[in-house]
This record gives sequence, C-alpha cells and structure tokens, in this order.
Amino acid sequence: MLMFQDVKSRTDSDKVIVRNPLLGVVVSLALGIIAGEYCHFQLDVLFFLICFLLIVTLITKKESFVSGLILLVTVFCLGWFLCQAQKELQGDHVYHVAKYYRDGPVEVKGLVISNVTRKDSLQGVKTSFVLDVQAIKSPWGWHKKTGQILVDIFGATNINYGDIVKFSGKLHKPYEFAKTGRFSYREYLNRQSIKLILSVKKNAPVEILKRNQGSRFKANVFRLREYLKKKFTDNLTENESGLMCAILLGDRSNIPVHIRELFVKTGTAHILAISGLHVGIVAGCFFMFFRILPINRRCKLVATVIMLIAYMIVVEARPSVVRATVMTVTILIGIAIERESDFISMLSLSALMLLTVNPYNIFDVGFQLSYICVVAIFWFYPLFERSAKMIFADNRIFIVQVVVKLFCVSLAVWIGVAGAIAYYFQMVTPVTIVANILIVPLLSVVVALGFGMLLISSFVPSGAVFFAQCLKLVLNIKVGLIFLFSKMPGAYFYIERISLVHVALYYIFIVLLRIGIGFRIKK
Amino acid sequence: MFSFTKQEKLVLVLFIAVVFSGAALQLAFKKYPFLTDIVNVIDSDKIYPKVDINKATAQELVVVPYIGEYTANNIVEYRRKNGPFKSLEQIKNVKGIRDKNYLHFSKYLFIK
Repeated sequence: MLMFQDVKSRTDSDKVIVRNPLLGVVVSLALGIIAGEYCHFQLDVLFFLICFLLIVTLITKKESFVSGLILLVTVFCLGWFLCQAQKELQGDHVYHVAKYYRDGPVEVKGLVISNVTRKDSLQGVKTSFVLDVQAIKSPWGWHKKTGQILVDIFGATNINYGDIVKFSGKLHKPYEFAKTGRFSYREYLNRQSIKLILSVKKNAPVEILKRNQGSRFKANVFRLREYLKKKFTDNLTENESGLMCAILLGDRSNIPVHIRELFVKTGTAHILAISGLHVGIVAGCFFMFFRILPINRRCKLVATVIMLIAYMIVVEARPSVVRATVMTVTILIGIAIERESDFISMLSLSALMLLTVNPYNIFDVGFQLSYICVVAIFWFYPLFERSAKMIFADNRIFIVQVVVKLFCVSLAVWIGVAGAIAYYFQMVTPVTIVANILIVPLLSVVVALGFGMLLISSFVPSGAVFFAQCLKLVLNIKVGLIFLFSKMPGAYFYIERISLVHVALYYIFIVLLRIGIGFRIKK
Repeated sequence: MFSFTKQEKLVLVLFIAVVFSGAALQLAFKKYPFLTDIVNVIDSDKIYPKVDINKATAQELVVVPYIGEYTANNIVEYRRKNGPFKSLEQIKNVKGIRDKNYLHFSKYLFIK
C-alpha cells in the first residue's frame, strides 16, 4: 500500500520525498499541464505518443530506471493531453456563434446546473447561476447549442437548480475587472469551462419552462446547504451569518466587504475559505459526537469518514477542501487499520485526484496556496519546533508550549505563502505570524460552536440559542482582534508588481536555506 | 446509568459548559443592554476601514469596497485638477460616481 507504512519503517522527511513514487507522478502531471497551457501540440499526435510510451513502459524491464523514467514521461504527456483536451470546444458550442450576437440581446434556453446565488450589487439584487445551454434563437428560429455560460440577472427571480429557463440578454466575454492583482476574472471562469456571460436586464422577461430537471442528488445537496444557511440566518445577525456561511459552508457571497478587507490585510483570509484546518476541526467534532454512541472504535472512524465525505460534497468540494478531506480520511483509515499514513503520498494522491478531474486546478490560487501551506508546514515546522525546544527547553507550562507550537506553524506557513501572496495580491503581511497565534485557536472554537449549533438546531431548534450566544461572542472577539491587528504599525504593506522570476528566486532561496540548515543540523 | 467513560464525560462537560455559557450570556445581554453594543463588533461601523480621500493614492483607493481602478483614477485626477475635497459630498462631482455608488462607499471615506 502506497499510502500507509509501518511505524517501524518510518524515515525522515527528506528521504520520504526522494522515495515517493506518487510524488513523481504528480510532479510530471503538473509539468505536463503547465506545458499544455503554454505550448500547443496536436492532440492526435499526443494521443499516439502516450499509447506508444505505454507500450514501451510495459515491455521494458520492471523496476529499471529507464522504465520509471519512461513512465514519468508518459504521465507528463498525459498532463499535456488533458490540458489541451480541456481547451477543445464542441462543434456546436455556443462560443462559436457568440460573435454574431454581439450587437443586441439574444434569446437563450437551457438548464440551470449550479446553485443560484442572490446578492446585493450596485444595481440591486443580482441573481447568478451557470446555465447549460440547450438552444439559442436566431432570426431563422431556435438552434440546438451546447456549452456552459454564466448568467447574471439584475433582479430577483425564483429560479432554482434544475429549472429549464428561457430569457434574453446580452452575450459577452467576461469582463476583466480592476487589475489590482494578478487575478483575472476571465481566466478564472475559463478554467471552469465558462467562456461567456449572459447579462439579463432587470425588466427582461424570464420564463421558467420546467422545474426539477437536474440531478436529484445535486438538488438535495443544494437544498441541504440552503437549510443549513437558514439555521445561521435564523440565529445570527446578517453579517455574522455571512461570516459563518463562509467559514462552515464555503459560501463567501455574503461576507461584508469591509470585514473581508480586514481579513485580507492581516493575512488571515484563509479563515474565510474552508481549508485543512476547518476540515480537521470538523472531523474532530464528528469523531467527538460519535464517541458518545455505543459503537466500537472502527465504526466511529468509518462513520467520521462518511460524514467528512458528505461534508466535502455539501461545501462544493473546492480544491482545498478535497485536499484536506483526502488527507484526513487517509489518516483516519490509517488509524483504523493501525498503520501510519505517509504524508507525501496523501498529499500527492489528493493533488492527483484534483488535477485529473480538472487540470486547470493547478492554476487556481486556492489550490496553490493550499498545497504551499501544507508543504511549508511539513518541511519547516519540524525545524522551527526543534529550535523553539532549545530556547524553551525548561518551560513546561502548557499554554507556553501551545503558543510556541502555533507560532512555529504560523511562521512556516507565512514563509511558504509569502511569495505567492506577494505575486498575486501585491501585499506583504508580517502581522499574520502573530495574528494566527490568537486567531487559529479562536477559529477552532468558532467552527466547533457553529457545528454544534447546526446539529442542535436541526434536532432541538430552541436549544440552538445557547450555542448561538457563545458563537456570537467568540466570532465578535475574533473580528475585533483582527481589526486591532490591522491597526498595528507595519501590519501590512503593498508592494509593486513582481514577476514570476522574483517568486521563483524567493522559493529557490528558501528551499536552499532549508536544505542548508537541515544539513548543518544533521552534521 | 451513572458510569461514564472518560470520552463521554468530556463530551458532556463541553456540552454543559456551552449551554451554561450561552444561558449566562443571554441573561447578561438582557439585563445589561449596553453589553450588546460592546460585544457587537461585526455590525458596528467602528471597524470600517477609513481612507482619507485627500491623501489616498489610486492604489489605496482601489482597496476601498465598491471603488474600482477606473473610479480611483478619476478621483485622483479630479483632486489634481480641482484641489483637495472640501466635503465628502463633493466626490459626487467626480466622473462616473452616482448617488447609488456614493451611498455604498461613502462610509469608508473621510476628510481630515
């Protein structure tokens, strides 16, 4: 089993990296995807090349260096192939005819395939969803078309997932909004296979032709999420529930803008996106809940795994959630079968899953930050912890030990993500290192209380008020602290745009530094 | 009936602690309403990030919610041509700013 190893056969982190076959596969696949994004190659040539390389791998001697190398080249070509295949559009894709409808409104018919979000904008309520186009109307009648487009209706509607709808609006490419950072809205949508936006005016007629035509499973997931959101809105104020929906349910559409800015400035925005930390706490909550049930330990672990997977589905399975869930589930399975999970294999497996499902995930900022964070913790934390132990060798106070550990994790993460944050957001946030020491433990309490509130309010609605009161207090303390951190002198500063070369140099520097320090310690 | 395992005890203690704290907080907020104002940081306007409209650069203005690059550049350009803003309302004279936008972002701006 690649994922698990005997406790006795444990090796140090550097050796594990070198020996890990899954890591090689993921790195080759990722490089192939990056190559596919920037260099075009004929798809059929790539297809035959992969077939040829597969045959060569099969006939070469097992466990030889050449065989392994050919296999990695095959995976590299596969990444290239997957990336280019993702770019290809069907012949009847709506994108091919969009240019003919640039001047006026176009009538479109299709199926709503995403959750419908409604939020306040400068123009009033904006309803947004992804539409799977079925037909488009031309002067000569309706024509069958395919492809996914994003629909923005400037007005409140009662459209839901699974509805077949008809409306007219302006079909256009996604706008490139203010370029304060590297984020491109157009590229972001392109990577989700959405190349066009249909903007529907406030008073334009919107017709619902049929209801409940989507997947029943997906509809139930969306219904469950709405039900859970309602639990928050029933018990908390609008701003508080907006924050809780982001922290626990992954819906960031209702976070007050000024509060989001506070989190960004203090480098604690990771709290607003469901990450490994959240999944870990949720897993802990589930496990704790199952602890009081009269079932054996293995059943408790299996039940936790099932609930975690269900949670991942409910919160829309974003890259960071999938990564964290795969890793947590692997650890739990490892505990159940009494084997230690191999960290690099877990990380590689989750990356492999995400890149195979959507190769463009590699260009997703959340995906990159999530993996950089985990790798930084894995690589730097033991080093910092060792140094901290030397400084605080005599200190046996529990709180001090916890604070030191949190500081080490926080510093490791900050060093890891600083390059990426500076590149994407043109910002450096030194206050993050200190802020995380207080904010992370508070987040654990917030997640546990929020989760408890959801659970209690589902069974005993009147009992939720006790959890809600505690949650309000802790949540407000957390935001208050973040506000104070943002006011600290030198808490954050903006920098000029930096290039990829600068980022690469930064990461080469910290990798060499880490290797150098590790080598000296060994000596 | 009266014997709990260590794990069961821990879960129950935590549950009781939350219910007790929740009830105590509810009572405190009812008895002393001023506590609600102190605790309620999220809904308070004290935490709005305020930017001095006469000193902020275009880069700093872009960070203000509801102000994009286009509007930020227009504000800086207006200030360059007409001198510092004398009142916040004056910002409505900047090209591209309407009452609706003004209502959204005026709470994030101030004049020293």
